Amino acid sequence: MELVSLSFFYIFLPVCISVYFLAPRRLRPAALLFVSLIYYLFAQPKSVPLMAITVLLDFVSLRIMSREKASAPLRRGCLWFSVVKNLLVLFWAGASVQIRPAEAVLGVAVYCLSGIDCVASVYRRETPAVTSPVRFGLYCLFFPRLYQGPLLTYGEFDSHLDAGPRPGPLQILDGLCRMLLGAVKILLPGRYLSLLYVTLRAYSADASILSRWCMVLVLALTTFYRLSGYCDMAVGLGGVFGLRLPQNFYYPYQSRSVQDFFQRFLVTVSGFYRRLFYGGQQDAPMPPAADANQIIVIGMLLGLWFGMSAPHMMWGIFLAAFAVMERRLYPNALERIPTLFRRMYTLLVVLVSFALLAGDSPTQSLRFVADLTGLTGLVPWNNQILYLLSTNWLLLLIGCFFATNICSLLITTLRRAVPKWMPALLAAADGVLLLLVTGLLIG
Amino acid sequence: MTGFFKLLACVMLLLVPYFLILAQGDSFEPPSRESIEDRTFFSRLDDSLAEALPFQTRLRQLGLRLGLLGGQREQNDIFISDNGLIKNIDATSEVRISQNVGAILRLAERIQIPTYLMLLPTASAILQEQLPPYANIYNNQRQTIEDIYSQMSGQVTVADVYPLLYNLRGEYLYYRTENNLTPQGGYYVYTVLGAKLVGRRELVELDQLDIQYLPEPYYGDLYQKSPYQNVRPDTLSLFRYQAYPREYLVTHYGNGGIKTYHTLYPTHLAGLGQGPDVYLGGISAITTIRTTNAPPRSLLIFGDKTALAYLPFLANNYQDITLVDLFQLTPTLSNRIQPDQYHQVLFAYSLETFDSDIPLRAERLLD
Repeated sequence: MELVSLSFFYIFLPVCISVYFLAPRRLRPAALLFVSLIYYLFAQPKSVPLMAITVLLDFVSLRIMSREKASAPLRRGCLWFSVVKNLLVLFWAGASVQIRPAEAVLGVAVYCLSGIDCVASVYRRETPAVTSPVRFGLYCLFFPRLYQGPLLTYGEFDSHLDAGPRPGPLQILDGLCRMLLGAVKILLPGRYLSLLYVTLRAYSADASILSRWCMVLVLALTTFYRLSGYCDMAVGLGGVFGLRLPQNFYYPYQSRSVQDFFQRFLVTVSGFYRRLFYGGQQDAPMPPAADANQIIVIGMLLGLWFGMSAPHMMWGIFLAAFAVMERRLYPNALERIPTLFRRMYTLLVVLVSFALLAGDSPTQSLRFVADLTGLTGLVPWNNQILYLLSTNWLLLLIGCFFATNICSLLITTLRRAVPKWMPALLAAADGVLLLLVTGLLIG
Repeated sequence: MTGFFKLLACVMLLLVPYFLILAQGDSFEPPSRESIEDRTFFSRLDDSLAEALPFQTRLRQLGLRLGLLGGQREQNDIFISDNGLIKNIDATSEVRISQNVGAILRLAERIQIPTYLMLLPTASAILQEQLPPYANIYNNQRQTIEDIYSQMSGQVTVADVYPLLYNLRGEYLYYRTENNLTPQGGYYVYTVLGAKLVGRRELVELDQLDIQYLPEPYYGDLYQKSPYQNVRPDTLSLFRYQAYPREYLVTHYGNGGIKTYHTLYPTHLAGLGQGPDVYLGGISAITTIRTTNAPPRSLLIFGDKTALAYLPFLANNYQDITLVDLFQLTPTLSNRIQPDQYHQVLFAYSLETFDSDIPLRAERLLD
């Protein structure tokens, strides 16, 4: 079963909601864990043993570390055991995908990184002892998070489980709306842009400079819509079940600098790396070399979120290099440039970085970057790209428009203007979005 | 408020069996470990739900319209033009074409019966002016056909219909919603093919035909794949020969047994939702047409569904015609075909079908 499928929307989701609301309040985390496990079983039964053993071993480590009598070496041993074990699992899963792309292990990055995050925070005593296997299991395996996160600390997650207010009708409608919007993002611009990207990427002898620029633009948009679509679904479903999950994207393509881009793109993933490596000192001032080092390391690891390959790391390092330059070489220069030009500069750097991400190997990535400049002798444009642009111009326009925050501003204004009408408006929006999602899934 | 949530939960629970019942198609199977592991169970469940949901046609239209709004003019390899749906075909494989040409030449040499070849261009070549600008189509069909014909080197007689169809491209030659020739297109093909087979003088003239239009609008196979709402449905027309009295017996030999029709146009099939089957009753592994009072000749055709467009005309020039669809033919049925009992053998395919192993299959069959 897929998260974006008719069987999920019309059969699995109603069952989940029913199980959650019919369960007594104290059993709701267990009910959610139960449906999450069932989801995993339906989605990828082959990977259940790996998932179960990984999460179980992390919980055992946490239990040992949480004991009052646990010595410092024992605690450190548990930490290293958990970190090494999770990294090995991640490495194995990443290598498997390189060999057999169809066999990606569902949610492996989310539950392994969540496990590391929790173990590290308990080790540093930033999180109180983890005693409930149900809560920890749910933290690692809450099914909407399995695809693209968002990542959050155990403390944040746990605080919403029963301390948070019970979701009201408005929250439920809002959550469903957010979830369906996420599905629309994946199905409408995400799917069609992805098809367009496959066509553009396949150009070899037919490539032109314009087609290469279109390719990186479409890849950037596809990445945004697919990742943010899954995150929106997770945030929305979290809202339905009373869990407040953080956002992962804040309109990254309208960033005013590459540093700003890092604060808007995969925010919870970079936040996780900062927590892991720099703990409580992440906001403390650092020597320039250490600071640059931190940015480069986080950039590189951020690239690995897409997959374990050299082009992905190159993508992160390339962006991180610009972020370091902005911070160290010309810290105030950008401030003096008009906002429009700052955005244009950032977009240019980001688009070039996506040319690196598009390659299957470092050589191909560099070749794509060279293609963008025209140094490889490509023609400026040809009939193939003109056809694609003439038949997909509206899709590209829609893709670019909805990647900005204009819609979000309009919705916020509407919420403030007619707060009383919000339940009715949200219910209507849910209905329309459900029809849209169904139509897109059938068509 | 608690009551509201309980009510919501109960409604949700009631919806589940409703959708599960909806999804129970004839082919629906309960889940097994294997079907969950290889994802076929949920794939089937999604398909069944998609077929069973209320307003599914309208919802499907919605999805397509959104794609069109996004500028898409091509879906499932089908171009959506203002006048209809046109299937895009892949470039032909030179190796396969060469093998097929060799197979036909060897066959012609062995059977020692006059052999003919006709390759029909598809709508994407003839109607290319209706395609979106800069569309990436295989627009070399004419050259490919001419190259193949030139290799026949006098051993096989060829019927080149491309120039005529291209000159008449403004007429209703191809269906708007199906990847096939209309009877009108079929008539023009017949004028070229018939001239080669029986001579121009014996051809049935258009004024000797009485044209009847079926009232039911027809949506073909392309429409099933791309249900573009704005496309006009097709009209099925029947061209009946009126000059001399003729009686026809059409017999189908297929895996389902033997079927016979005493007409070229079993129009009752249109009422059963089998639109294109009103022509000869469709195409089977072997379809024979026996015509009384027709010239005493016989013709063996290895062809595809394009034959349905021109065979009703050709039937007036032959006492016996046998159409063999090598895609459907089974070894048991192949015993019924004896090429030496025919006066002529014709290979007639659209270029799309010819780019397969069909002629090689024919060679193996007649070995």
